[in-house]
Amino acid sequence: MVIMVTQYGWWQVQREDVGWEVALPDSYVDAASAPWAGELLALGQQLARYRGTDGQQTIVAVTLPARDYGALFVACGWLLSREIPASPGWMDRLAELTRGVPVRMAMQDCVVVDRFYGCRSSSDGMRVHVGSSQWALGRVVSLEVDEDAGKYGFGRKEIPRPGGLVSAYVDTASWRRVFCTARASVAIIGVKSRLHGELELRAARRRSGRGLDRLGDIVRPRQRESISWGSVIIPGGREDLAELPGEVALAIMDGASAIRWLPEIRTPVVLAIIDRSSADESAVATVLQLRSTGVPVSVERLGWSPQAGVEGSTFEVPL
Amino acid sequence: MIDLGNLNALYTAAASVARNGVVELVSIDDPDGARFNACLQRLSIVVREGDPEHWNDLLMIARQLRWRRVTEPYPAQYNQGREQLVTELTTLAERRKFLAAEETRRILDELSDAAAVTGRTDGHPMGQLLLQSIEEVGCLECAAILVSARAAEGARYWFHELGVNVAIADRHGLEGLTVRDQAYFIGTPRLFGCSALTAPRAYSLTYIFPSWVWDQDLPQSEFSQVASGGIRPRAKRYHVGARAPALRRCNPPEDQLVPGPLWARPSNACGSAGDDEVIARRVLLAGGRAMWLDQDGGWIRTLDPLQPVGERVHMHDEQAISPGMFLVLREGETESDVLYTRALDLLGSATDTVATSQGEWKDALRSRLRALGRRPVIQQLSKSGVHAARRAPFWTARTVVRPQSDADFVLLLEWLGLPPRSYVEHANRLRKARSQAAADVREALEAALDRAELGRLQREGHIRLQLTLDGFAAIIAARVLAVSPFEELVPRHTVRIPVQDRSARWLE
Repeated sequence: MVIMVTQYGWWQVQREDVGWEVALPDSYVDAASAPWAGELLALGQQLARYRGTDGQQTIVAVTLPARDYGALFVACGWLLSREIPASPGWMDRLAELTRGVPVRMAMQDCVVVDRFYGCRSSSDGMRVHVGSSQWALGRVVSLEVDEDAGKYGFGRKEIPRPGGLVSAYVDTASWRRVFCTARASVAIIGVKSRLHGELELRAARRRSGRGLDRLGDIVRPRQRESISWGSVIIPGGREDLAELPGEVALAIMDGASAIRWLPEIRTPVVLAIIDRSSADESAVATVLQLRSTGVPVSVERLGWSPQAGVEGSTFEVPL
Repeated sequence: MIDLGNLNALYTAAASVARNGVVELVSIDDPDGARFNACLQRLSIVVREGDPEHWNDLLMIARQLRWRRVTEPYPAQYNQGREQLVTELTTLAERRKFLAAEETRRILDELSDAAAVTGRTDGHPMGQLLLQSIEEVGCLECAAILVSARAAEGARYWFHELGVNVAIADRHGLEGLTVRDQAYFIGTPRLFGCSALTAPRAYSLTYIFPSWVWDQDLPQSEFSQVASGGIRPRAKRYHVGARAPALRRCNPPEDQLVPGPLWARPSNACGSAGDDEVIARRVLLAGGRAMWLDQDGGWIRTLDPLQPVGERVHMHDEQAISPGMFLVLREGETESDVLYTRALDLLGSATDTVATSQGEWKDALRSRLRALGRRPVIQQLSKSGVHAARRAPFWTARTVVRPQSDADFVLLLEWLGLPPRSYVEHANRLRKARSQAAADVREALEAALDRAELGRLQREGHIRLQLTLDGFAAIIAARVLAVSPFEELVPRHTVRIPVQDRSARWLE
C-alpha cells in the first residue's frame, strides 16, 4: 500500500510494490508475477474516487506497451472501489411486499433473482418463498424489490469465494454486495472476443494466502440471461456504436477501433487505452484533437501517476 | 492471446527505454549507395522544372532501388526483383537521353552505372555489420527487424543459407516477436515509427543505416510530448567507417526516402463542394488499383488479419487511413450503397415512409448548408449543443442513417425546425435494418476470410474474396500503398470505387 499526498489531497493506492500475480485458466504452472497489474488496478481505483468539475467530462488517456488485460484490470479496480451501500431494514419491509413482485435476494453464498411469494414459519424457523424454493430467512443477507429483475431472466448464481484480488479491496460483505448488483457502472468498448477471452485470467495479490480471482467474476459483463452484472462490453469496430446504458459512469475505450468513438461518448469519465504496439496512430490523433478543444488537468489530480513505461494525460471537455 | 511472460517483458522493456532513454543509431559508410543517391538527387533537381510526367517512371524506379539499398542489406540473389529494376532503369534512362540536355545525359549515364554497381555489390556494408553484431550478441539474444515483409523474407533466406538462426520480423509483424535483449533495425528510426521505440521488443535498440541518408532523427510521439511519464528516448550516435560525414539536416522536400508516387497538385483544389461533389484524396492500392477516398468524417471497412477470427473486419475513420492498412472494397458500386439498398429491402412495407422521412430532414440540412455555408452551420449546431456538429455535412449523405447520438439527432431536428419524434423513429428503424444488413455482410466476409489465403494477402498485398451474399460478389481486400497529401473535389459517385491504375506499380 502506498500513500500518495498531493496538493489535491491524499490517497491510499494499491501499487506494484504490493506485487500481483496472474495465471491463465489452463495454466499448470505457478502464477506469474505481473507488476503492471497493480498500476492498472490503482488507476481504476482512483477513477472511482475521482470527482471532476461539474458539467465537464474527464478524459484520461493512457498508453500501454500492449493493450492486453489493461481495460479489465482498470475495470476491476473501479468496480471494487465503488461504494455500494448496504440496505438496512430490508427485513422490516418484507411484510409490505406484494406477492409476485420481482426481487433480488442476496444469500451468504449466492444471489437469487425471482418472484417473491411471501414468508411462512416452519419447524426450523422462518422461510421466505422466492421462485420455486423456500429459503431459510436466517441465511438471507438482503432482499430488495427490483422491478427490472428478470429482464434478462430469473435464476440463481453462486458468489465466488473472494480471492487475493478481491480481498485486497473489499471485505466479504462488501464483495457480496458488489457481486449481487445488476448495474453496469462501466462500459468497455473494444474487440469483444478478445475481451471475453481475457475475462478468464485469474489474479491475486502476492502472498495473500488466498486463491486467484477470475477477472470475469469481478467485471461481470452483462450477457444474455445474466442475473447480476457490473459492466457491459460493447464492440467498437462496427458501423454504429450501441447506446451505453444510462447508469454507466466510466467508459473504457480499448484500442484504436474504440477510440474513434471518443467524441461521441457522454459518460462523466472516459478512459482511452492506447496500444503502443499498434502501428495505427489514429487513436493518438483522435485523443489529441479532442484534447485541443479541452482544458488539460494534471494526472496527479487523479491521485495516480504513471510508472515507467506507461504514459498518461488527462483533460476536461464540456459534457 | 499474448503470452503472460512476454507481456511482463514488454512492460519491462518499455520501462527500460523510458528510464534509460538511450537508443543507438549506427551510421555506416556506403560509398556505392551514396553515389547512387547523389545521382538521383541531381536528376530530381534537373528535371524539376521540366515535364514531371515525362520523368515519373524513371524517378520512381530509381527511388525504389535506393529504398532497397537502405532496407535490404543482403546480396543480390536474395533481393527479389532488384536485377529487373536495374534493367528497367537502364533501359528507361537510355530512352530519356534522346531529348535530354547535355548535363542531364551525363547524370543519366552516371545513374545507370551507379545502379548497376549497387545491383552487383555482394558485400553490403550494413549486412556485414549486422552479421558481425549478431555474432557478438548471440543469435538467441537478438532479433533483426526489417521494414517490409519482402525485406524480411529476403533476410530469412540469407540467414538460412548462412546457418544463422536469428529471429526476423518486419515492421508490421512485431506482435509475434518475443522480447529479446537486443533488436537491430535495418533502416532509419522514422521508417519504423514511434511504436518500435515506445513498445520495444527488446531491452536495447540499435538502428543501422547508411551514412548518406539525410533523415537520421528519432521520431517523436505527439502524445509522449504532452503526457505525464512521456517516453522520450535520446539518441546515441556511432559511425562505422573511414570518417563521420557531416549530417545534411535539410530534407530535400521533393525527395522522400520512402518511395512514393509523385502527386500532381490538383487543379481544382477544394472550393465549396456542390451537392454531388465531395472532398476526397487519391489512394493507391496494391494490385494496380486506385480510388478516391472521401474525407467527410465517415467510416470505411478495413481488414486486420492479426485480429481474432470474427473480429478481423473493422470500420475505420476514413481520414486516418494510411499506407500499410488493408481496405475491403466492393468493385463497381460502393458498399454503403449496397448496404443502404439491402437495409431498405429489409424494411418491407415501411420502405417508402422511411425513405421519405430520411429525405426530408436531409434536404432541410442540405438547404441550410447551401444557404449558410459549412462553417456557420457547424458553429450554430455546436452552439445549440450538438456534440458532433463537425460531422453535419456528412449527415446529408443518403447512406448515412443519422447522427450517432440520440441527443445530437434531436437537437439537429429541432434546429432544422422539424418535429423530432417521427424522424427519430423512422431513422431508428432504418438503423436497425442497416445493422442487420451490416451484420450479414460482416459474417459473410469473415466466412470468406476463413476460406481465403491470408498469407497471400500479406505477401502480395491483395486478394479477391468470394462472398455468397447477394450484391457482394465482387469484393477485394487490398493494401494501401499511398495516400495523396492533396484534397480534391470529385463527383460523389466516383468515391470508394477501385479502378485500374498503374501508377503504383513501382511501389509494390
